[in-house]
Amino acid sequence: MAASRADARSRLLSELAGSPARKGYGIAYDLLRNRAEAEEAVQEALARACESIGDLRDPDAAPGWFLRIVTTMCLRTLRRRRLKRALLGWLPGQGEPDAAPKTEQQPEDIAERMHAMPSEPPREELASREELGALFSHLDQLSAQQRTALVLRYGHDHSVGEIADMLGVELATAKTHLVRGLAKLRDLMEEHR
Amino acid sequence: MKEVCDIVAERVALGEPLGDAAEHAATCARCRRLSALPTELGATHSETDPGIGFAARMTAGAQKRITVRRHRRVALTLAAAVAATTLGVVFLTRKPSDETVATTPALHDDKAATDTHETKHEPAPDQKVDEDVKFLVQMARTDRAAHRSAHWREIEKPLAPYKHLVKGMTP
Repeated sequence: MAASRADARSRLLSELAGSPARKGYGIAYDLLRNRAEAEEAVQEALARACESIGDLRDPDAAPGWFLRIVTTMCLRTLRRRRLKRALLGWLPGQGEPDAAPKTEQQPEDIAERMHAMPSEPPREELASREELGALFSHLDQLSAQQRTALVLRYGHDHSVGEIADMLGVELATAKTHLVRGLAKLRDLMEEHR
Repeated sequence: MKEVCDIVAERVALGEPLGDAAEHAATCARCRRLSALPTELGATHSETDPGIGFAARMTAGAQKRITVRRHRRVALTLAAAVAATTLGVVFLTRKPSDETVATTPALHDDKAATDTHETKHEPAPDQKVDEDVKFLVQMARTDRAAHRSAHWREIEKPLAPYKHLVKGMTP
Protein backbone atom coordinates (compact mmCIF):
# COMPACT_ATOMS: atom_id res chain seq x y z
CA MET A 1 0.00 0.00 0.00
CA ALA A 2 2.74 2.44 1.05
CA ALA A 3 4.97 1.30 -1.83
CA SER A 4 2.22 1.83 -4.42
CA ARG A 5 1.53 5.28 -2.97
CA ALA A 6 5.24 6.14 -3.19
CA ASP A 7 5.29 4.89 -6.80
CA ALA A 8 2.26 6.99 -7.70
CA ARG A 9 3.89 9.98 -6.02
CA SER A 10 7.15 9.64 -7.95
CA ARG A 11 5.22 9.08 -11.22
CA LEU A 12 3.22 12.24 -10.61
CA LEU A 13 6.36 14.18 -9.72
CA SER A 14 8.15 13.16 -12.92
CA GLU A 15 5.02 13.94 -14.96
CA LEU A 16 4.52 17.39 -13.45
CA ALA A 17 8.19 18.39 -13.41
CA GLY A 18 8.22 18.58 -17.22
CA SER A 19 5.87 20.73 -19.26
CA PRO A 20 3.37 21.63 -16.49
CA ALA A 21 6.21 22.90 -14.29
CA ARG A 22 7.49 25.10 -17.13
CA LYS A 23 4.03 26.52 -17.69
CA GLY A 24 3.67 27.04 -13.95
CA TYR A 25 7.01 28.80 -13.87
CA GLY A 26 5.84 31.16 -16.66
CA ILE A 27 2.73 32.10 -14.69
CA ALA A 28 4.68 32.41 -11.43
CA TYR A 29 7.31 34.61 -13.05
CA ASP A 30 4.73 36.91 -14.65
CA LEU A 31 3.00 37.27 -11.30
CA LEU A 32 6.00 37.57 -9.01
CA ARG A 33 8.60 39.07 -11.36
CA ASN A 34 11.38 37.31 -9.51
CA ARG A 35 13.14 34.14 -10.73
CA ALA A 36 14.00 32.76 -7.29
CA GLU A 37 10.47 33.29 -5.96
CA ALA A 38 8.94 31.80 -9.10
CA GLU A 39 11.10 28.65 -8.78
CA GLU A 40 10.25 28.41 -5.11
CA ALA A 41 6.52 28.63 -5.87
CA VAL A 42 6.80 25.83 -8.45
CA GLN A 43 8.83 23.60 -6.10
CA GLU A 44 6.36 24.16 -3.28
CA ALA A 45 3.44 23.43 -5.61
CA LEU A 46 5.13 20.19 -6.75
CA ALA A 47 5.69 19.11 -3.16
CA ARG A 48 2.10 19.89 -2.18
CA ALA A 49 0.71 18.12 -5.24
CA CYS A 50 2.71 14.98 -4.38
CA GLU A 51 1.69 15.11 -0.74
CA SER A 52 -2.02 15.44 -1.50
CA ILE A 53 -2.07 12.96 -4.38
CA GLY A 54 -5.02 11.25 -2.67
CA ASP A 55 -7.20 14.30 -3.43
CA LEU A 56 -6.71 13.86 -7.17
CA ARG A 57 -9.53 11.72 -8.54
CA ASP A 58 -8.87 12.12 -12.28
CA PRO A 59 -5.16 11.67 -13.20
CA ASP A 60 -5.76 13.52 -16.50
CA ALA A 61 -6.66 16.64 -14.53
CA ALA A 62 -3.23 16.68 -12.82
CA PRO A 63 -1.68 19.53 -14.92
CA GLY A 64 -4.66 21.86 -14.35
CA TRP A 65 -4.73 20.95 -10.67
CA PHE A 66 -1.00 21.65 -10.43
CA LEU A 67 -1.38 25.09 -12.07
CA ARG A 68 -4.09 25.90 -9.53
CA ILE A 69 -1.65 25.08 -6.72
CA VAL A 70 1.04 27.23 -8.37
CA THR A 71 -1.41 30.13 -8.56
CA THR A 72 -2.30 29.67 -4.88
CA MET A 73 1.40 29.73 -3.96
CA CYS A 74 1.89 32.93 -6.00
CA LEU A 75 -1.14 34.57 -4.33
CA ARG A 76 0.34 33.68 -0.96
CA THR A 77 3.71 35.20 -1.92
CA LEU A 78 2.05 38.36 -3.28
CA ARG A 79 0.00 38.79 -0.09
CA ARG A 80 3.08 38.26 2.07
CA ARG A 81 5.01 40.78 -0.02
CA ARG A 82 2.18 43.32 0.32
CA LEU A 83 2.03 42.77 4.07
CA LYS A 84 5.80 43.16 4.35
CA ARG A 85 5.61 46.38 2.35
CA ALA A 86 2.82 47.69 4.58
CA LEU A 87 4.75 46.79 7.74
CA LEU A 88 7.92 48.41 6.41
CA GLY A 89 5.87 51.47 5.54
CA TRP A 90 4.70 51.82 9.12
CA LEU A 91 8.22 51.74 10.50
CA PRO A 92 9.74 55.18 11.16
CA GLY A 93 11.68 56.57 8.24
CA GLN A 94 10.18 54.11 5.75
CA GLY A 95 7.56 56.42 4.20
CA GLU A 96 3.83 55.81 3.78
CA PRO A 97 2.44 52.29 3.77
CA ASP A 98 1.07 52.60 0.26
CA ALA A 99 4.25 54.07 -1.16
CA ALA A 100 6.16 52.33 -3.92
CA PRO A 101 7.96 49.16 -2.82
CA LYS A 102 11.29 49.78 -1.15
CA THR A 103 12.28 46.20 -0.50
CA GLU A 104 15.68 44.72 -1.17
CA GLN A 105 14.32 42.86 -4.14
CA GLN A 106 13.51 45.96 -6.11
CA PRO A 107 16.82 46.37 -7.98
CA GLU A 108 16.77 42.72 -8.94
CA ASP A 109 13.14 43.02 -10.04
CA ILE A 110 13.87 45.98 -12.28
CA ALA A 111 16.88 44.26 -13.82
CA GLU A 112 14.83 41.14 -14.45
CA ARG A 113 11.94 43.11 -15.90
CA MET A 114 14.27 44.90 -18.29
CA HIS A 115 15.92 41.61 -19.24
CA ALA A 116 12.59 39.90 -19.78
CA MET A 117 10.98 42.60 -21.91
CA PRO A 118 10.04 41.71 -25.45
CA SER A 119 12.37 43.17 -28.06
CA GLU A 120 11.20 46.49 -29.53
CA PRO A 121 12.52 48.74 -32.28
CA PRO A 122 15.43 50.77 -30.80
CA ARG A 123 13.76 54.18 -31.35
CA GLU A 124 10.69 53.31 -29.30
CA GLU A 125 12.51 51.07 -26.87
CA LEU A 126 13.21 53.60 -24.11
CA ALA A 127 9.71 55.09 -24.05
CA SER A 128 8.20 51.65 -24.17
CA ARG A 129 10.36 50.43 -21.30
CA GLU A 130 9.39 53.43 -19.24
CA GLU A 131 5.70 52.79 -19.87
CA LEU A 132 6.08 49.12 -19.12
CA GLY A 133 7.96 49.93 -15.90
CA ALA A 134 5.08 52.22 -14.86
CA LEU A 135 2.59 49.48 -15.73
CA PHE A 136 4.47 46.98 -13.54
CA SER A 137 4.56 49.38 -10.62
CA HIS A 138 0.81 50.05 -11.00
CA LEU A 139 0.16 46.31 -11.13
CA ASP A 140 2.00 46.03 -7.81
CA GLN A 141 -0.64 48.29 -6.27
CA LEU A 142 -3.58 46.07 -7.20
CA SER A 143 -4.81 43.38 -4.85
CA ALA A 144 -3.20 39.96 -5.27
CA GLN A 145 -6.37 38.48 -6.78
CA GLN A 146 -6.97 41.38 -9.19
CA ARG A 147 -3.37 41.22 -10.37
CA THR A 148 -3.50 37.46 -10.80
CA ALA A 149 -6.78 37.66 -12.71
CA LEU A 150 -5.39 40.31 -15.10
CA VAL A 151 -2.10 38.47 -15.69
CA LEU A 152 -3.86 35.16 -16.33
CA ARG A 153 -6.43 36.75 -18.65
CA TYR A 154 -4.25 39.01 -20.77
CA GLY A 155 -0.81 37.49 -20.30
CA HIS A 156 -1.73 33.82 -20.55
CA ASP A 157 -5.07 33.88 -22.41
CA HIS A 158 -7.01 31.96 -19.80
CA SER A 159 -10.80 32.13 -19.93
CA VAL A 160 -12.77 33.70 -17.08
CA GLY A 161 -13.94 30.22 -16.06
CA GLU A 162 -10.36 28.94 -15.88
CA ILE A 163 -9.33 32.01 -13.87
CA ALA A 164 -12.18 31.42 -11.42
CA ASP A 165 -11.05 27.81 -11.08
CA MET A 166 -7.41 28.77 -10.56
CA LEU A 167 -8.26 31.44 -8.00
CA GLY A 168 -10.69 29.11 -6.27
CA VAL A 169 -13.59 31.61 -6.52
CA GLU A 170 -17.01 31.80 -8.19
CA LEU A 171 -17.26 32.88 -11.82
CA ALA A 172 -18.97 36.15 -10.86
CA THR A 173 -16.17 36.93 -8.37
CA ALA A 174 -13.52 36.33 -11.03
CA LYS A 175 -15.39 38.71 -13.38
CA THR A 176 -15.51 41.32 -10.61
CA HIS A 177 -11.76 40.97 -10.02
CA LEU A 178 -11.14 41.51 -13.74
CA VAL A 179 -13.44 44.53 -14.12
CA ARG A 180 -12.31 46.24 -10.90
CA GLY A 181 -8.67 45.45 -11.60
CA LEU A 182 -8.84 47.00 -15.07
CA ALA A 183 -10.69 50.09 -13.78
CA LYS A 184 -8.23 50.57 -10.93
CA LEU A 185 -5.27 50.13 -13.26
CA ARG A 186 -6.71 52.77 -15.60
CA ASP A 187 -7.21 55.18 -12.69
CA LEU A 188 -3.64 54.63 -11.47
CA MET A 189 -2.26 55.25 -14.96
CA GLU A 190 -4.32 58.42 -15.30
CA GLU A 191 -2.96 59.65 -11.95
CA HIS A 192 0.56 58.89 -13.14
CA ARG A 193 0.14 61.04 -16.27
CA MET B 1 -22.84 58.35 -18.32
CA LYS B 2 -21.15 56.36 -15.59
CA GLU B 3 -23.36 53.39 -16.31
CA VAL B 4 -22.22 53.23 -19.94
CA CYS B 5 -18.58 53.46 -18.78
CA ASP B 6 -19.23 50.52 -16.46
CA ILE B 7 -20.77 48.52 -19.30
CA VAL B 8 -17.73 49.25 -21.46
CA ALA B 9 -15.38 48.23 -18.61
CA GLU B 10 -17.24 44.96 -18.12
CA ARG B 11 -17.31 44.11 -21.83
CA VAL B 12 -13.64 44.95 -22.29
CA ALA B 13 -12.68 42.91 -19.22
CA LEU B 14 -14.61 39.87 -20.40
CA GLY B 15 -13.49 40.26 -24.02
CA GLU B 16 -17.04 40.72 -25.31
CA PRO B 17 -17.93 42.94 -28.30
CA LEU B 18 -18.81 46.49 -27.25
CA GLY B 19 -22.04 46.55 -29.31
CA ASP B 20 -24.21 49.60 -28.64
CA ALA B 21 -21.58 50.98 -26.22
CA ALA B 22 -18.99 51.23 -29.03
CA GLU B 23 -20.05 54.74 -29.94
CA HIS B 24 -19.57 55.92 -26.35
CA ALA B 25 -16.25 54.07 -26.06
CA ALA B 26 -14.93 55.95 -29.11
CA THR B 27 -15.72 59.37 -27.66
CA CYS B 28 -15.05 58.87 -23.90
CA ALA B 29 -11.37 59.33 -22.99
CA ARG B 30 -11.56 57.05 -19.94
CA CYS B 31 -13.16 54.25 -21.92
CA ARG B 32 -10.57 54.63 -24.69
CA ARG B 33 -7.84 54.36 -22.07
CA LEU B 34 -9.45 51.27 -20.60
CA SER B 35 -9.88 49.63 -24.01
CA ALA B 36 -6.14 50.00 -24.64
CA LEU B 37 -5.18 48.30 -21.36
CA PRO B 38 -5.58 44.65 -22.45
CA THR B 39 -3.02 45.17 -25.22
CA GLU B 40 -0.61 46.85 -22.80
CA LEU B 41 -1.12 44.07 -20.28
CA GLY B 42 -0.37 41.50 -22.96
CA ALA B 43 3.09 43.05 -23.25
CA THR B 44 3.83 42.20 -19.63
CA HIS B 45 3.92 38.51 -20.52
CA SER B 46 7.49 37.36 -20.92
CA GLU B 47 8.71 34.10 -22.39
CA THR B 48 11.30 33.48 -19.71
CA ASP B 49 13.63 30.58 -20.08
CA PRO B 50 13.91 28.82 -16.75
CA GLY B 51 17.40 27.64 -17.63
CA ILE B 52 19.15 24.32 -18.10
CA GLY B 53 18.20 21.53 -15.70
CA PHE B 54 14.95 23.15 -14.68
CA ALA B 55 13.01 19.87 -14.35
CA ALA B 56 15.82 18.25 -12.33
CA ARG B 57 16.04 21.30 -10.07
CA MET B 58 12.31 21.30 -9.47
CA THR B 59 12.19 17.55 -8.79
CA ALA B 60 15.11 17.69 -6.35
CA GLY B 61 13.68 20.74 -4.58
CA ALA B 62 10.22 19.21 -4.25
CA GLN B 63 11.62 15.90 -2.97
CA LYS B 64 13.71 17.74 -0.40
CA ARG B 65 10.66 19.67 0.80
CA ILE B 66 8.62 16.45 1.09
CA THR B 67 11.40 14.76 3.11
CA VAL B 68 11.87 17.74 5.44
CA ARG B 69 8.12 17.94 6.06
CA ARG B 70 7.90 14.20 6.72
CA HIS B 71 10.72 14.44 9.29
CA ARG B 72 9.03 17.42 10.89
CA ARG B 73 5.73 15.53 11.12
CA VAL B 74 7.46 12.51 12.74
CA ALA B 75 9.23 14.80 15.23
CA LEU B 76 5.97 16.57 16.12
CA THR B 77 4.14 13.26 16.59
CA LEU B 78 6.94 11.98 18.83
CA ALA B 79 6.94 15.20 20.86
CA ALA B 80 3.17 14.98 21.32
CA ALA B 81 3.44 11.33 22.38
CA VAL B 82 6.19 12.14 24.89
CA ALA B 83 4.16 15.03 26.30
CA ALA B 84 1.06 12.86 26.64
CA THR B 85 3.05 10.08 28.35
CA THR B 86 4.65 12.56 30.76
CA LEU B 87 1.25 14.00 31.66
CA GLY B 88 -0.11 10.51 32.22
CA VAL B 89 2.80 9.53 34.46
CA VAL B 90 2.47 12.75 36.48
CA PHE B 91 -1.26 12.19 36.89
CA LEU B 92 -0.84 8.60 38.04
CA THR B 93 2.04 9.24 40.44
CA ARG B 94 0.64 12.29 42.23
CA LYS B 95 0.94 12.51 46.02
CA PRO B 96 -2.24 11.53 47.92
CA SER B 97 -2.32 14.93 49.68
CA ASP B 98 -2.88 16.67 46.35
CA GLU B 99 -5.88 14.49 45.67
CA THR B 100 -7.96 16.16 48.37
CA VAL B 101 -7.67 19.43 46.52
CA ALA B 102 -8.29 18.15 43.02
CA THR B 103 -11.20 15.78 43.58
CA THR B 104 -14.74 16.93 44.21
CA PRO B 105 -15.92 15.73 47.64
CA ALA B 106 -19.31 14.16 48.14
CA LEU B 107 -21.77 16.62 49.61
CA HIS B 108 -22.52 16.07 53.25
CA ASP B 109 -25.94 14.86 54.07
CA ASP B 110 -27.11 17.44 56.60
CA LYS B 111 -29.48 15.11 58.35
CA ALA B 112 -26.91 12.36 58.72
CA ALA B 113 -24.37 14.86 59.89
CA THR B 114 -26.76 16.23 62.51
CA ASP B 115 -27.62 12.72 63.67
CA THR B 116 -23.99 11.85 64.07
CA HIS B 117 -23.46 15.05 65.96
CA GLU B 118 -26.37 14.30 68.30
CA THR B 119 -25.29 10.76 69.09
CA LYS B 120 -22.13 12.01 70.74
CA HIS B 121 -22.02 12.31 74.54
CA GLU B 122 -23.60 15.45 75.99
CA PRO B 123 -20.89 18.05 76.34
CA ALA B 124 -20.90 21.20 78.50
CA PRO B 125 -22.69 24.26 76.91
CA ASP B 126 -19.38 26.04 76.12
CA GLN B 127 -17.95 22.87 74.74
CA LYS B 128 -21.09 22.39 72.66
CA VAL B 129 -20.56 25.74 70.99
CA ASP B 130 -17.04 24.73 70.20
CA GLU B 131 -18.29 21.50 68.71
CA ASP B 132 -20.75 23.47 66.56
CA VAL B 133 -18.01 25.74 65.37
CA LYS B 134 -15.84 22.75 64.64
CA PHE B 135 -18.66 21.18 62.68
CA LEU B 136 -19.22 24.35 60.67
CA VAL B 137 -15.51 24.58 59.97
CA GLN B 138 -15.58 20.99 58.86
CA MET B 139 -18.57 21.69 56.62
CA ALA B 140 -16.85 24.71 55.14
CA ARG B 141 -13.87 22.48 54.32
CA THR B 142 -11.40 25.24 54.93
CA ASP B 143 -8.58 23.15 53.43
CA ARG B 144 -10.37 23.39 50.08
CA ALA B 145 -11.49 26.99 50.57
CA ALA B 146 -7.89 28.04 51.17
CA HIS B 147 -6.82 26.56 47.88
CA ARG B 148 -6.40 28.85 44.91
CA SER B 149 -8.77 26.90 42.68
CA ALA B 150 -11.58 26.65 45.26
CA HIS B 151 -15.10 27.40 44.02
CA TRP B 152 -17.00 29.79 46.24
CA ARG B 153 -20.36 28.21 45.34
CA GLU B 154 -19.17 24.80 46.53
CA ILE B 155 -18.01 26.29 49.82
CA GLU B 156 -21.27 28.15 50.42
CA LYS B 157 -23.66 25.34 49.47
CA PRO B 158 -23.27 23.06 52.54
CA LEU B 159 -23.42 26.12 54.84
CA ALA B 160 -26.72 27.40 53.47
CA PRO B 161 -28.98 25.75 56.14
CA TYR B 162 -26.95 27.44 58.90
CA LYS B 163 -27.20 30.92 57.45
CA HIS B 164 -30.09 31.96 59.73
CA LEU B 165 -27.95 31.25 62.82
CA VAL B 166 -25.63 34.11 62.04
CA LYS B 167 -28.24 36.50 60.64
CA GLY B 168 -27.94 40.00 62.17
CA MET B 169 -24.61 39.22 63.80
CA THR B 170 -21.57 41.27 63.06
CA PRO B 171 -18.25 39.52 62.79
